[in-house]
Amino acid sequence: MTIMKHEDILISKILNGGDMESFSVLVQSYQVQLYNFVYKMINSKEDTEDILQEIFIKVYNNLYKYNNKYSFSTWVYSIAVNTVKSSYKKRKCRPSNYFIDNLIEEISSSDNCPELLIESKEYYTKIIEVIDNLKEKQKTAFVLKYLKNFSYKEIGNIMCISQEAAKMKVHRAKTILAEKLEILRKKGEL
Amino acid sequence: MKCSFLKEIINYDENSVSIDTNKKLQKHISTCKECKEYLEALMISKKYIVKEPEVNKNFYKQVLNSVDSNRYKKKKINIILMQYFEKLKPVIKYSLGSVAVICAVVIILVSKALISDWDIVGNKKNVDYFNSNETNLNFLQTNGHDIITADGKPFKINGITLTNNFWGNWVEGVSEKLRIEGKDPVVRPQVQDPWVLTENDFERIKNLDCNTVLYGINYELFAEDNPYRSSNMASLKNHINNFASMEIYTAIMLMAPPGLDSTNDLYEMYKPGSIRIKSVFEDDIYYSQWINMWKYIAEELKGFTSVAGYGIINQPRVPSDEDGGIEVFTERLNNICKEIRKIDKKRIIFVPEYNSREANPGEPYWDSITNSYKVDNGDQGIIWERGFVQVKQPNIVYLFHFFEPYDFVTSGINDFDTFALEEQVEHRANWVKGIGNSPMLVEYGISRVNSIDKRLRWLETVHTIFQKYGVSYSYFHYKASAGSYVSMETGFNAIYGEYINWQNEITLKNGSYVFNYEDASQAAKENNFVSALEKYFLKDNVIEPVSLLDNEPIIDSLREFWKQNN
Repeated sequence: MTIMKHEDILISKILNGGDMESFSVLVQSYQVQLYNFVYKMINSKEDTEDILQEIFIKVYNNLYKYNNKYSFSTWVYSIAVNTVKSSYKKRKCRPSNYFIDNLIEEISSSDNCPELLIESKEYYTKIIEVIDNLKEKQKTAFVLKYLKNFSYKEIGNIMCISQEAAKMKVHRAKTILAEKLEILRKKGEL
Repeated sequence: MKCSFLKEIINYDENSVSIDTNKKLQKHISTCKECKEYLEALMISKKYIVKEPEVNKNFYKQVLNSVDSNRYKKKKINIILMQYFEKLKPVIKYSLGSVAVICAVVIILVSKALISDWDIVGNKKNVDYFNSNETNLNFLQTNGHDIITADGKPFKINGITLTNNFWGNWVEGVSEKLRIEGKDPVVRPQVQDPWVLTENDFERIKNLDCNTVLYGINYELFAEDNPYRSSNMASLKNHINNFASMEIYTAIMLMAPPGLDSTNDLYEMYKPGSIRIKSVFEDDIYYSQWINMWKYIAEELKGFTSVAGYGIINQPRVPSDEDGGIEVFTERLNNICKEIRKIDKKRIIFVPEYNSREANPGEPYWDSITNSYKVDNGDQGIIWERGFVQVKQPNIVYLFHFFEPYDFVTSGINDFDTFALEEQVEHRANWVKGIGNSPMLVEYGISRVNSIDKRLRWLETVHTIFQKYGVSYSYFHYKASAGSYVSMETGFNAIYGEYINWQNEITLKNGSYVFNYEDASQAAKENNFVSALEKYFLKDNVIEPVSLLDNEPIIDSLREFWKQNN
């Protein structure tokens, strides 16, 4: 990807003389996708910006430690994952109020897919609640898999687990989705 | 889980499933409610994950304000000082008295470094690097028949087109299927290929002495649902800034809109209109995607003064009357310009002529399958006819392509006639005069199938004509990928060729090379790549992937022409 090549140039400009314009470009190329990642992980608008800010400060302060053994995005996401993890601990419990209404509205209305049997907003909300209530590590692996199409190897690197373990976590998340669907079906909620 | 297949479906990994298993699963899913529901739920989850919430665009400023901007400036100094200490270590060891001297040196060095840092920070203008560019290049505007700079001086676009491999690549697992279905197998990129614009390319382009690049993009790069959209935009802004720092304007040219484009048309033009891919003029979804993409770009780039303009579409086709004909074509071109103008009032918009139209029932068209004229009976055959429609807005530059005579330029058949060439430019110049004298931009080029002498003769002829009619021009094009599967003659217009895939295709051995597989070897022969490889890419048993081929005289001729008109 072109951006990778640019990232290398930007990083070298920051490390060799502290070029803040390069850091600004780097932040801007990641802010939307990382905001999305953090938001999907914690479901709280207020906290997302704070956590995101913390991530970028860590990226900046630790940039000299980055080596290109891994791709830069893998490195950035590993910082993001750890920051989200410690925010869970800080807050102890996860927020119960969801701010996902707008997103559901948008994804359900953007659907032109005739194969979808049920398109109701409630249905979408139920599915998304299943994803949101996954265990932290399963959810992280699942979100990384589909957010950026990371390979299992990359997910493993980001989460500091093996490739196989990363695959298992995604697989477990998918199985839970299938099981929860069955429960909902039995309850007659589908 | 009741269904025994569901476990298999959960295990399903798009990248590793065999065709047979895939077929079996597909068949099952069509009849099993449980599996179908699961896959729908998975699809909804993916959509939810990918969907980006709105982000405060100025968020990055908060980040910049909360980090220590001196962190890496200091670091550099520390490194210098540490190195200094290392060198002085033996001296310290033997002379304690010199410690005082060293301390003094260090203090002077540190204070000097800090002062110079402070100077840099203090003098630095507060540039919003990401939303505008600080450059001497100011907005270009139109004035009568001319393009002018901010201080009113006439400006001729001495341009070169960067196609940026907008058409994309052969993608394993996708392309073959498309090919079998009779569709364009090449998949438009979601992220620009890294090889299209490297640091060396910027250096090469700088040395060309052009004043503008026509920067090709495809719709997918900036489609709303592309998860890489924001990083693609960051990369584009970077490129614009790089060019601006070399005093080069960037015109953003949409080469492949959603739906029908000039590349997939090579596969679509033989199909009847009813099954052919629709264009933005025929299909409302493509049309709104096209508009939304331009709104996004216009919003993002409105502060960039070194953006020469927007080429809204490339080589469009007028739909048949049944699909709205020239009226809908004119209306939609006008509308998209209006939408861009709502966001960015100043920018030049490049409006192209149509390069063909769909026939209406009863009209004769040339059927290239049977090589004969055919009377249209609703199949919307293609009539290769060109023409402009007027966009009633200020700051419009009309764009036309000039690969004439087509058979000569692309395939080396026959020769060209100077008067016939001039007539074509004159015809277009008369049209713009008729609507009140707008500026024009021509995109032109000639393929390597013609000898270098012939290419130069053609180039000099058309340059004289362009000069006479006062049009701007962009040479098509800068760089293309070369390799066994690319014809190095017919249709190869690029000045530079880059052998992208050489490590897969060949192995270097004992001062020579061998093809890694028979298919590549065969294709290389058919495409005249063997001689190009030996002559241009293989140097002393090393591959130099980027080559100017035999185009040095072409570059010289372009430079000379640009110099005259600068």
